Amino acid sequence: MASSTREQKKLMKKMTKEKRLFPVWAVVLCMVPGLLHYIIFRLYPSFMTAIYSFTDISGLPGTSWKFVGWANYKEFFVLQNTRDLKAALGRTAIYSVVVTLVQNSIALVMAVILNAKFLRGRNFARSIFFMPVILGAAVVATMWKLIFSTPTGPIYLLMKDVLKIENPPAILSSYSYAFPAVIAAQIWQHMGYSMVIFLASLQSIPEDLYEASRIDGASEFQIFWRITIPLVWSAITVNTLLAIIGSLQSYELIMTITRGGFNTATLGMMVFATAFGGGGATASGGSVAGMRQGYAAAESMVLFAGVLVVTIISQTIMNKLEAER
Amino acid sequence: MKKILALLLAAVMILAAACGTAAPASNDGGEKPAAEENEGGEQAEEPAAEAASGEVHVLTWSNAATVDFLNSIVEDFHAAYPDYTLVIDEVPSGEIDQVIQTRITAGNVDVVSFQTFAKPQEDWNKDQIDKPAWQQYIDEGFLEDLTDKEFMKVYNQNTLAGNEYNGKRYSLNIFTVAYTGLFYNKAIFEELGLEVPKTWDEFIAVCDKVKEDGRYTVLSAGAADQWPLNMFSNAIMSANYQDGMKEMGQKLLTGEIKHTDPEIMLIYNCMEQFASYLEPGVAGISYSDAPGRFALGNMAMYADGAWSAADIKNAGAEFDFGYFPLPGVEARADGLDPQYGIKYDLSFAVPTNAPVKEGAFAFLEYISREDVYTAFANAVGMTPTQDVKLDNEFLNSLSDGLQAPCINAEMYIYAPKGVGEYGSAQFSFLQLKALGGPFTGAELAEHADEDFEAARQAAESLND
Repeated sequence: MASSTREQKKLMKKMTKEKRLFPVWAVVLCMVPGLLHYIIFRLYPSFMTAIYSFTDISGLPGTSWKFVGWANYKEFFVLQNTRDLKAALGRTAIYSVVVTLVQNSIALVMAVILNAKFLRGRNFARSIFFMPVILGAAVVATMWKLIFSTPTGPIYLLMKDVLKIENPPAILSSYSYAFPAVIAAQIWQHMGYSMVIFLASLQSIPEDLYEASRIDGASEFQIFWRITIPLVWSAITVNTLLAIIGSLQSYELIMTITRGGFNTATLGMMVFATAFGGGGATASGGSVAGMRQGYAAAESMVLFAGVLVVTIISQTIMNKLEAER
Repeated sequence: MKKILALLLAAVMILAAACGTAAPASNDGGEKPAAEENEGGEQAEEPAAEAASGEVHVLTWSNAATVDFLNSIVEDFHAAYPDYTLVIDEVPSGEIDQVIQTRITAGNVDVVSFQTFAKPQEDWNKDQIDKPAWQQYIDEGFLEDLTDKEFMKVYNQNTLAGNEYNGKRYSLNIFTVAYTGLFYNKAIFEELGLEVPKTWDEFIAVCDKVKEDGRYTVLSAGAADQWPLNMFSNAIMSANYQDGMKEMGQKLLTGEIKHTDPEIMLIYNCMEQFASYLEPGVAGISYSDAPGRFALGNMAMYADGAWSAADIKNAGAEFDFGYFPLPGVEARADGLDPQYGIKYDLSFAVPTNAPVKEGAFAFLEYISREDVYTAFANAVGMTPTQDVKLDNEFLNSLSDGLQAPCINAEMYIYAPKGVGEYGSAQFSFLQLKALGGPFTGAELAEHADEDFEAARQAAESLND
């Protein structure tokens, strides 16, 4: 029995070797650039961020700094205004949940529509929907600021002239509407990315399955629910995790649209403001002087811990759901 | 064949990685301040060799008149100093602090622009505030000491002394600026029979008259950016308490007086009245759009600093406009008409790691020449710090309000570190219900007090 297993393994190894396009050493060498990039630009900075979180480093090169133990963490949890910290954490959670759910829902619907063979110009449409992904945050922010500007922006004019609202609110200066507006901009910018992942997954589903189900009399909704969703579930898992991680860390659009003011400061925004300064960018919505990269690093580590926990929980849930399906 | 192909592919990939990750071994400034003691930190590097020629990068914020003028002297500067070419790097006003930090860190800027060196961390407040960025730059040796430079001697020494730090001058204060006033449309004032107000009650009466007439916007500002409107909570303080705000600002920080005390509540009351005359939707009007809206000619008053006169003209204003200081509730004790609050505006500093440092000094020398300086002051409409005669009609019209100017309250109002949202926004117009915010003035004052107290207690527990 043992000898048979050994022979099977040997045979498998031989077959695998014969099927290889390139030798192992070539594959490893090809991985070197990616690994180098990962180590130099991801792993090393992450490691140093953890180290810096225990220092009072300012961020200006060549200047003095020293280890301060847990002082930065103590300051984060003690000195930070508790009410505002809770509010910022709450906003971070809302931002992440709404972006993840809405972005992926719209992206999936759009992917299904743009995967339909009868649709003319669908490649062009895919490009259009993907285009915001390649735009920089500054471009997206400028565009949305124009859309929401007062009193000449289209949204303001729509509210005033079409909806006949007497004193339409200035959306991006509103304590109620600025945050939803930033979320909308985030979804608009990143929806195309999720859509492309869904499209790739949809295109791998064999057409026979759809034809067979139609012959069996399944409705379009049943086909979508019973065939499409289960077969793109791995894409849903990937997109969900990407959206959760991306939105938890996100600060670019908040920085460029509201600078963290008007109840839009999230934890990611706070980290940026602490390191580089910014008006209306703390959890408190107030301005900070910046140049406290040691403290910013401590905030980053708190954010990292939060992202890690949320990611592990999400992945566990998604894997469980996938297994059930 | 497969092996050769694999070898080639791998070689290309490694080469690509090497190209992508190798840091250029340039010596164009590098990153480094003057030598400082390092407590377990990085060893300060030696200064990079300074170039004796090349591009002199001047970093400044978006003020159209300033940027236009600086760009207009590029050729003349090159003629005067053939070794150097001036490059003006303009960034949005709201981003200047971050860009200064990143450019100094990168060591690729020769002249940086500051406004004023205000609110330093000192013994009395060291537990309550962080060091402002400018103080960190100086303390860490990132800014050149300009005190003994020849070009500094042509400026009004008393004025320069006001921006000293530790008895040294780390920036060349090109201008001061009056910015606690309102632009007004002279044609509208004349048509409605209005006079420039000398007291707060007269100001309110002017606003009421324009409002009753109904044809014109009473008052506006670039409120979406917040700071342009918040200048006027400071203006209200300066109009009422002048330099007395220095002591009041310190006492607010230490808790000796409260936001809810009557003298501070007067400020909140005036803010609410002021806000009630601002045009609907003002909270969404961006600062960049605001001067152009006044220039259209259907607005009676526009709240902005005097520096915007050039922008208003450039926006095509075809009417006469003037500028008057916001008045206080009570008449001044010295019997003078309302006076402006001022601050240092546009101060040039030279980073110690500037790659073309001598070029930076050459630029400062050039800009200080009387003819160049006079043209600069005329172009931007700010108050000169050299004793030169200007032909800028608008600037000369401010002289009555500059007989006894005070340093504007903005330079005296602190917020303790770690303070909550409402303490941080203690005098923010956009927190007021009148402009879509959550509070009345009295409520904002109460919340600001609560946040200040919480921050003080947290700081104490942190220090224990």
